[in-house]
Amino acid sequence: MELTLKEITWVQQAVAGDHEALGQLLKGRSDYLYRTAYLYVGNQADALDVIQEATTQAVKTVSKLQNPHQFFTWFTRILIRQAQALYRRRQKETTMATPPEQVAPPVDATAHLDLLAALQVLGADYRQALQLFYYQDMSISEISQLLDVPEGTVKTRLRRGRSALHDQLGGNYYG
Amino acid sequence: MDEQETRQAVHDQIDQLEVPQDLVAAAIQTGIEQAASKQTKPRRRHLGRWILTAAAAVLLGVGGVAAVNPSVSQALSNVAWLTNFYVFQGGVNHFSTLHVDGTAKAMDQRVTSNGVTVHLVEAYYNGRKVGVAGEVTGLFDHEKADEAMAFDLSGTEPENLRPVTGGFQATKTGFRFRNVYEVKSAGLPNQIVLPINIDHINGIVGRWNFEITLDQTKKTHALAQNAYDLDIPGGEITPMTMTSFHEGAELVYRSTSTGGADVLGFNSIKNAAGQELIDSSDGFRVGLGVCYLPLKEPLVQGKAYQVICEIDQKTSKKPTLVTREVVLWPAD
Repeated sequence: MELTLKEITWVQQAVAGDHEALGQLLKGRSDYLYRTAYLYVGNQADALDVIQEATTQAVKTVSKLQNPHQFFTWFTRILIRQAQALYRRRQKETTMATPPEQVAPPVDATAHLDLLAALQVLGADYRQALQLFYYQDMSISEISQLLDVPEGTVKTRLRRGRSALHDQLGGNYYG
Repeated sequence: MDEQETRQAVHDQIDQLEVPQDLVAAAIQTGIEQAASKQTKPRRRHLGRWILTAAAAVLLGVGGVAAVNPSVSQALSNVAWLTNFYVFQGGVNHFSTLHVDGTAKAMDQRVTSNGVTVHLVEAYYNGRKVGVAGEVTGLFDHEKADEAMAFDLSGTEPENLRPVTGGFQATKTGFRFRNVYEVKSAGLPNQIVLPINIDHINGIVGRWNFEITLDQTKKTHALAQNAYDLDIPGGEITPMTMTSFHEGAELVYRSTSTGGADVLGFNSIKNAAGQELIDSSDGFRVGLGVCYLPLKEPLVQGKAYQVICEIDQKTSKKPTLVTREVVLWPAD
């Protein structure tokens, strides 16, 4: 993600301890942050919780940020980790009928599912891989590093995730 | 549909998701306030005061190195050390910049007192910024991770420097740290003395002073202060000086607003081969007024460069980008 000169200045001020600058920086990209969080957790309340917690973490650790140009890559990682943690908590709170190895639950073929809804019913690993690859524009290598799994595993998750979406959405959109 | 088209289609769909702007702004604000309320001063345990000074005079740059400090001329490699550090950091807050920057010099200076050793591994001085990296070992209770995070380098910078970025990371045996400072004054001193004071480590208070003399070979040219012929809306950019260092260079310019811009400056300078010349490895400050722009290599007098000017208007969320071909260092 390219930063503007103004954003670079805010990053430097944030690194130096200016919380207001950090706030301006994040609020300026609120669309991207909200959508990223929402894709993980699937509802507004949890997405806002994730953003709030990620911001708290960022305030605590932003002084360690070395390259201002990497700010949003760095923050996205924090956001994703917070979203993963919340998603895991929600999974524990809910009785899951889906076997862990299943990519996506069977759906009613007549039901209308748009992309967001289709992503939500995917297994977390597959949804995560697809989101990082197609929305965060990360490479397979970067996803592998972020998730700490082999590149082959990322490729498998992408392939199976695409296949599951194909089954649900039809056509060759993700073919 | 190829991969790029698929990406675009995904972006298009996801970007339709409605964003509750006010609620997101409130969540960010609450997150900041929450962090501020949780940040408390670490507990300190005073074990007495000791001051040690290691005169570690190191000349960075060219000529006379061995005469000052023989260890520098050995060009010790820290690649393995930094690689391990990078891996440990998980690639998030990497500490490899000093080495990647190419100007860092091995220091290998140690001071030990009461079981705590400070190892200054390497440092660099590029004429505008000073960076140091090192390791602290000994007397750590690694079971108490929260308290161990109280490592603090505050107060290290002398009067003519101010901290820009810094960080530290726990290791199995202690902490590794990296700090970058910026020269405060507009003038570039040839030498800087940098003491390293560690206020507290895991509850221990003390000072381990390394006096580092950094030297930088530089050549500064005053430029004719005529505004560049950029024809950009909202302001103008006027060159001031061009400085060549042993490694890298610096273009100093002044940007002025003639109507509404609150940021105006270069965000890209490319040579004829299309190579980006702005060195953003340590970042740089922008705004109206004087800007010190770090470059990977000196500009060539009389040569034209492709620049992208960014103009941020107070009233607009998105900046205006203007591409121009311009001679940045005009012939005398």
